[in-house]
Amino acid sequence: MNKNSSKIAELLRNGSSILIFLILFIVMSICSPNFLKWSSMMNILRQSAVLGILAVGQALVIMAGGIDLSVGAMMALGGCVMAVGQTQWGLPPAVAVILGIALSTLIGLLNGFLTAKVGLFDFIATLGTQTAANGLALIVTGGLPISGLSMGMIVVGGRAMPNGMPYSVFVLVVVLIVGWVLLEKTTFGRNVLAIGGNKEAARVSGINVDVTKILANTLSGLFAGIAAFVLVGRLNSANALMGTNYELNAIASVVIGGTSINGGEGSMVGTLIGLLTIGTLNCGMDLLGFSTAWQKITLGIVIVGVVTMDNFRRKNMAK
Amino acid sequence: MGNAILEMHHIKKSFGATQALKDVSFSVYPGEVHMLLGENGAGKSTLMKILAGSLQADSGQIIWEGTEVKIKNPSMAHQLGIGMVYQELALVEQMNVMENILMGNVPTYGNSPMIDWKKASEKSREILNRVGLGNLSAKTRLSDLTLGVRQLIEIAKALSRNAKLLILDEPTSALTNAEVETLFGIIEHLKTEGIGFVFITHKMEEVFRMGNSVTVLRDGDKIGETRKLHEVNEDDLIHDMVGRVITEFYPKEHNTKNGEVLLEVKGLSDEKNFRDVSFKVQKGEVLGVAGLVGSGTTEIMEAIFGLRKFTSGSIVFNGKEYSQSQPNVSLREGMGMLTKSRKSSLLLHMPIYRNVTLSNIRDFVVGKIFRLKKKELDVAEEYRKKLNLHARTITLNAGDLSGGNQQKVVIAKLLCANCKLFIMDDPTRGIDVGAKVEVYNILNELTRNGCGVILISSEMPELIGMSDRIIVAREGRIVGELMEEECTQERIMKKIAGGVNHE
Repeated sequence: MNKNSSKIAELLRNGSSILIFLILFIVMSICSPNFLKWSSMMNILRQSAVLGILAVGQALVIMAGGIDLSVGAMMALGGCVMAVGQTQWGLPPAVAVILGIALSTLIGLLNGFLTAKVGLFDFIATLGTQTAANGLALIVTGGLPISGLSMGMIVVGGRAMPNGMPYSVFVLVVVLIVGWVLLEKTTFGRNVLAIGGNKEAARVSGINVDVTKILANTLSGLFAGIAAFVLVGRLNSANALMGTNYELNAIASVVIGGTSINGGEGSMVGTLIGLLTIGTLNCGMDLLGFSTAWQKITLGIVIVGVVTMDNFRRKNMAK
Repeated sequence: MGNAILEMHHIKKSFGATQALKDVSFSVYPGEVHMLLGENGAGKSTLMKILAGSLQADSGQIIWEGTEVKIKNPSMAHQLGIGMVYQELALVEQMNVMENILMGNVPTYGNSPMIDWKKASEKSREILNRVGLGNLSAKTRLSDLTLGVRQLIEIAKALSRNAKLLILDEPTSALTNAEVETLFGIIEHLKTEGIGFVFITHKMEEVFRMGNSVTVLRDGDKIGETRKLHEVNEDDLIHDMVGRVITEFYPKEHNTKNGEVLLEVKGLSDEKNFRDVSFKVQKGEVLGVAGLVGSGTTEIMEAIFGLRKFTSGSIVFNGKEYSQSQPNVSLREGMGMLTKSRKSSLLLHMPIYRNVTLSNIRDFVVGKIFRLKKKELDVAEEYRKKLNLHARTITLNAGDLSGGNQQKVVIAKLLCANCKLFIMDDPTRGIDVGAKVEVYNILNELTRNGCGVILISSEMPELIGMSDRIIVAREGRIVGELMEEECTQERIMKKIAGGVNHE
């Protein structure tokens, strides 16, 4: 009895996002005969892969009470280094990729250091690194799109496995699982939620607040590097501005998924639902022939709507 | 009593030029409750923070179970078995009970970072039983629990780290009477397990009820020796704390009311927290309001001032009738409220003088826009002297003041806004004995000048000592009224509790 009721409460907690997602899904299935097909489903997932990988890192940072505005820029810079490294600097593709991921991770580490040790607000620190990383990417690429990448990257970014599952989706699934295990099964995950919920309480409970925060930001950088790998492969090219707006969509995925923007609570399952909501919206409306403009308007309404519903529900539950 | 679990010898600590602790020594034995008393700023918190590892002593020695230790951080204190129960509870509201209890101390598989949730669940179950919360589901979200239960969970959290010494910093300040009884029961039980307690409180009643021994600090010095509680009386302790004899603890001035009605509340209801509330306040009168937590006293006052809505009834203030209140209108008409939480009455990050002029900034501008800083400073300085505000300068931030002085800033703010009626929700909560008496003196000053005061208080003696009249609220209704001469603690308690009363 007790177990059941807590399960129901848990489900209700993810309620608004699941509800919106299901409604959206059903509406799309009815409106577009092509929607409910394996290929469309894979298409949604494939198009969500890059955003999803970023959202996992973003979710960790937000749950820890921060925000990461630099995920898109870290990804763009990492991707540019991967592309320029192998086409212009003469690095073996694998080394270029590792270098790109390492650079993103390093910027994540810097974000963590600036917020935890220097004491800057997350918004300011990551706004700064975002801007600087954008500039750095422009220098690396000379402001030009870079193409002519190795086959390996193109395969992972754009092709499918023999069983029909795109490699990029496989990477997304792995990252999601890693994120879920980190959050639900490790002390690090509990510590993230603790410092996001009440930093002082976490400190006096013997949690190393700074290390936890730095680690969350560093992971966000690492995931941005992995996302860069997938994105560059899919585009078969890289340019300095390819990460623009990704940070905001990543925040949207996290928030639609029921994670509190104030930190302290949230889940990876919710983040996945938020991601799929955005993916379904975009792909479904594509199929129905709506322009990007209308997709954006709808997404805006969904973001505000879901969070409003969440607030209402929380108030009602508190009574 | 055996050997001390903890001995602190010759602890010294300075912050800049201020000596917070000047050579304090202190010991705790297993199974005893050691009361640590002193006014705010006496050094209690500093001493306990040193013990809990969040501050380091400049010099001195800490001996834990016979061996000298250096406590460098909170983790080390936990490892030794020192548990601190903070006044501002150190819990995360969004997490569930189990996650809170095991925060920073979750059982894992071996040395890996992977959490052993099964073991975690068993461990939290066992600890919840120890603090008498056997019926509570470990999956309950903390935000769904009352403050009293949260306090017990905070204790459970310390016990989960095998604490042998628990530091309780004003543990009852936010609890209902029933919750206090539960807490005390658990403390008694844990004493038999050999756990030692350091108990910080401002409530004398608790000192004598729960304490085995007592140490008094004043201005960073230990006053006299640690004594057994049966060797001392209340007057001695108060004398030691404040360093002077307080002849009159409740310096109530009488005969200040003049019969003129300042506020009349007629049949106020919000159909949820309070119903059909009617009462009057005269000029020059202190109207006490008694009631347990949850009796609606705070809600009623918030509705009168305009912080929450009421659905029927009306308020007559200064001869004008209102069917709804709004804080800005109330303040303009001369009704001010001192809320329960000082944080919501003050801008803590702003200087004192800005707080003082905040509600009446109109008087400090020219041409509707430009602020007259000089005038603000002058007026604030005037109030600093008048209310005996202990602050070096009025450009200091409000957040840097002690609780009692913050309260004075709020009162200055209301005075500056020309308030005639002061609604004070627990104005002496968490402030020390000396500062309390100063607040009482201000109350007298107010009534002498013809102002009315509504005083809500959780401390019965204070209500009885300072009120001209007391109304009693229970379950959102006014259930009784007592004139000053008929007020006794028993009578009020009877009305509060709703026992059969044929008087």
